[in-house]
Amino acid sequence: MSGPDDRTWTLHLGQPERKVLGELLEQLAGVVAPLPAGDDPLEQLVGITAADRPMDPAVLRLFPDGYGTPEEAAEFRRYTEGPLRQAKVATIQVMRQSLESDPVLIDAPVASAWLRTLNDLRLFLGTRLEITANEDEVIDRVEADPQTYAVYEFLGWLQQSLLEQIVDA
Amino acid sequence: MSVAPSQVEQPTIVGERGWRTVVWDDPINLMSYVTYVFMTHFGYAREKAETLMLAVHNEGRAIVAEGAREQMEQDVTAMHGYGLWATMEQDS
Repeated sequence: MSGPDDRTWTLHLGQPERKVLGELLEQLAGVVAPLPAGDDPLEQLVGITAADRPMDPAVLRLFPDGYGTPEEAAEFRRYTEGPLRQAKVATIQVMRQSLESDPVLIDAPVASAWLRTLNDLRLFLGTRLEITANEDEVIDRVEADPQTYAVYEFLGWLQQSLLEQIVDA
Repeated sequence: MSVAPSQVEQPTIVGERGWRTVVWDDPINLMSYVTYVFMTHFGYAREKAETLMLAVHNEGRAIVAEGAREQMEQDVTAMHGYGLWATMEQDS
């Protein structure tokens, strides 16, 4: 894509879908919210967080290691996780605001926010569901938590539909 | 800031090796989304973006960019912003 992208799309969503998305966004905003700043004034000033590697695999998937070695990954995390959390919060907010209109009007920046946030929701739920590349194992997960899996599938369908409009058009 | 190359002696840093951004396969990201990210962030043409996406999918990982350490750190951070699983490593 070159030059300004002035395309817009209109998305019609039913009330149940809006409600589900609104609740998911609220949950995700809580998960990615910036961590409390450390006690070091210098670290607060330059925005370095004393971020520990997330214990929850679903949170770790949203904030993965940037290096293969633990020492380098920890150093990288100190400088990048704080800004990354702020960026994700801002992206979620763009999607939340666009959901307030009916139908939802989507221009290029809003589309980018939707794609990223839908993807973060899928990563979070998919990791919780322990989605793997093994289809037999996925069937077990579906049976264990059909409701979450239905939401996961809906998010994937929505993301794919947007991608077909944006990339294939 | 830019100086004409002919006017400066190019410094030679012995032992300095380049860095690369690696994207890893995962079972959740849609193939179409990974292609979109490669096109959007790196500005790759669709064909190149799809080739890289398939390399990630089929081989488990692919080198998607190479360059200086600072640039690769920016690329890895950007990939994490998109939700792709990326790490950086030094050329061996």
